[in-house]
Amino acid sequence: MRTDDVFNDIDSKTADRLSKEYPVLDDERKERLYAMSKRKFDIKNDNNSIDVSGVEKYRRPAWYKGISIAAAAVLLIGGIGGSMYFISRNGKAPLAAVTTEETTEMTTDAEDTVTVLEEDDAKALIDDCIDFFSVINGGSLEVDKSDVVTKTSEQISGGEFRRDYYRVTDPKYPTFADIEKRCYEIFDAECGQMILKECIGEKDDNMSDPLFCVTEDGYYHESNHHDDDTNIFSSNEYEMNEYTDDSGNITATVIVRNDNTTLKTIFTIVNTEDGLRIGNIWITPIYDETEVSTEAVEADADTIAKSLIDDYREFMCALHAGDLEVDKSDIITKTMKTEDGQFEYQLEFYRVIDQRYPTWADIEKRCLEILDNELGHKVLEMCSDIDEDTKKHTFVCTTDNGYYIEKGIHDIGVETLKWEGYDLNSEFDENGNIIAAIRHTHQIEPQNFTLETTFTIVNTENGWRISDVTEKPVE
Amino acid sequence: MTDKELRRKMEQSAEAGRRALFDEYCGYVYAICANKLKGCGTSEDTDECLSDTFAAVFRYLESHTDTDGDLKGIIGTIAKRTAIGYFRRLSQKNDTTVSMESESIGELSSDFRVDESAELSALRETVFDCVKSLGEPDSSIIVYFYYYGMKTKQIASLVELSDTAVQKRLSRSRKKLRELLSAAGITEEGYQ
Repeated sequence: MRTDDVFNDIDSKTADRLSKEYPVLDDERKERLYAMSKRKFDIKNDNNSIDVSGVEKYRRPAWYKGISIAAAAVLLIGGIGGSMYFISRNGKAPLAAVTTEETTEMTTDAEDTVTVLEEDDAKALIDDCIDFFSVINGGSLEVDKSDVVTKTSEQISGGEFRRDYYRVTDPKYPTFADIEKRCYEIFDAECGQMILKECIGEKDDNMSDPLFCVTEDGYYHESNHHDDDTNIFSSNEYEMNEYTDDSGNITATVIVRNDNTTLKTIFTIVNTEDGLRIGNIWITPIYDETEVSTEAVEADADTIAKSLIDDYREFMCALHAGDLEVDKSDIITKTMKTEDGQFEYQLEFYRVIDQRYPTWADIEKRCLEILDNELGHKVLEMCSDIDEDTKKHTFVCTTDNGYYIEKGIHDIGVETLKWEGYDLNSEFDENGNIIAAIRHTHQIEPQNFTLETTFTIVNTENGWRISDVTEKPVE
Repeated sequence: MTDKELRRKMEQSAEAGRRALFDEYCGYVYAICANKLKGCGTSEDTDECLSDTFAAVFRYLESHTDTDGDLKGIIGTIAKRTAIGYFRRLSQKNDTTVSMESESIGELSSDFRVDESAELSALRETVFDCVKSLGEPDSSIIVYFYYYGMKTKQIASLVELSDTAVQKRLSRSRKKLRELLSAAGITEEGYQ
């Protein structure tokens, strides 16, 4: 019997001690678990078979009404009838990756990367999102159909288009400010702003067709959206699968099958200072059932590479190109020795006050989120303190009061790290690694020159990381 | 709450009885489910396993109103069987190699394996005591990691440390635990 085995298949006594001496369930979770247990008991299964298909059939509350297809068109960026419905704060498709299974094993290098966010919180947020869409797009908002306001707008082809709006009398949302408030409880700032912009349109834009009309004595909901019977989520069930990335963001893929349509929606859920919020939504109608899958979409090489390369640039510019915020009045001086130990010289260091990296540990952490262990530690060794006695050249020094960066490194910087735009060319090699090459041009008097930087990106147990960077000039 | 009190409560009100039973044993069942499913399931799977267990327990007690068996034994056995079922399905799905030795087919008793030796039971007890002697937060970190199968990020939020700090403590605690176990006469081969 190996010692490791005593941690597995615990006996009754150990389970008892664990529950009493190391309880892990808080009251909220207990309530939820009890509700689940009670619901399953009430359903009265015939047998004890357990469905663990991995794709959870998630039952929506019966009162949920769903949102209309026509209403979803309001959320389009691009033409009606297109294949993609996309709401994003930054114009980028959600970064999704193949779901990976992780195991906990008793190894000498235990490293775990998984999630901070509870998957149940993601479901609750998605439910809230769908409910909210039913409010702004569908007929769940209480209105007075006898109190109508008519607005006209210009059509693209010329002529006028008249729209009627019903006065909103819903006690849950007495004013439009309540709609706004609810919106920001579900979506992050930028995504919420985009959605609200669709709700009320742009000021002085006569061609917009907003969902709401706000007046001094109340607000009104567009009549067609309100009366429309076509619901995207008319079914009470949807399938969902989630993936959590290294930053703790959740990408949830939801498939809903209705009478007429199947929709695949990808939600990106982020952890903001106000709590969980939806940052991106990508809705795709599925016409071919063979395309349907709740597995997270396998990210392409470009998407992975671009994200890492941008992070690399930002991080390396902080370390080597003067982008770290420093206090130039707070300087310390260190006496260094040359390699051969014969000569001494002075180096000055600025105190780092950058909010992104308040301590040297934050630099280390960020480094290893971008570079793999080997490359990351090489980079850190190059800049961090070595033994005080050796006085070898460093460009960062840490003290009890904070950490400092060498003045020359900060003020001069490596200009070639500061690429603005680049052409990216990436592909998977035979080992499943990504080889990504970028070309960037710089103007250093008296001429311009172009460099090609090649990144090798590997899939580590902690996620994708850059393992090698080489650079060469391009003729 | 004792078995007698729980049964009395169930007689007075089925719903109140179920709730009391749940409150008394949910931590116990959770420990069994989490321990079995660590490495092959998510926290969601553990929750589903737990709720399936209690649904089965409620059904069992509803149809066996005259039973006077030890409630913990009944609940523990149902929990173990449910967890094994989940483990098999999840392992199949994940293509995880399952050791024949690691599956315990429990019989109905107050402990899971009627043939479990006193030596193994004592071994587990000693290991648990050694873990506890590490002191906080190291003992909690070891328990959450090895018994509950939590990830270091989850553990970090429970013990209010950074993920990096948890990983470092885990590494150091593992070494210290080996020394403590060795001092207690426990090696890789078991009790000496």
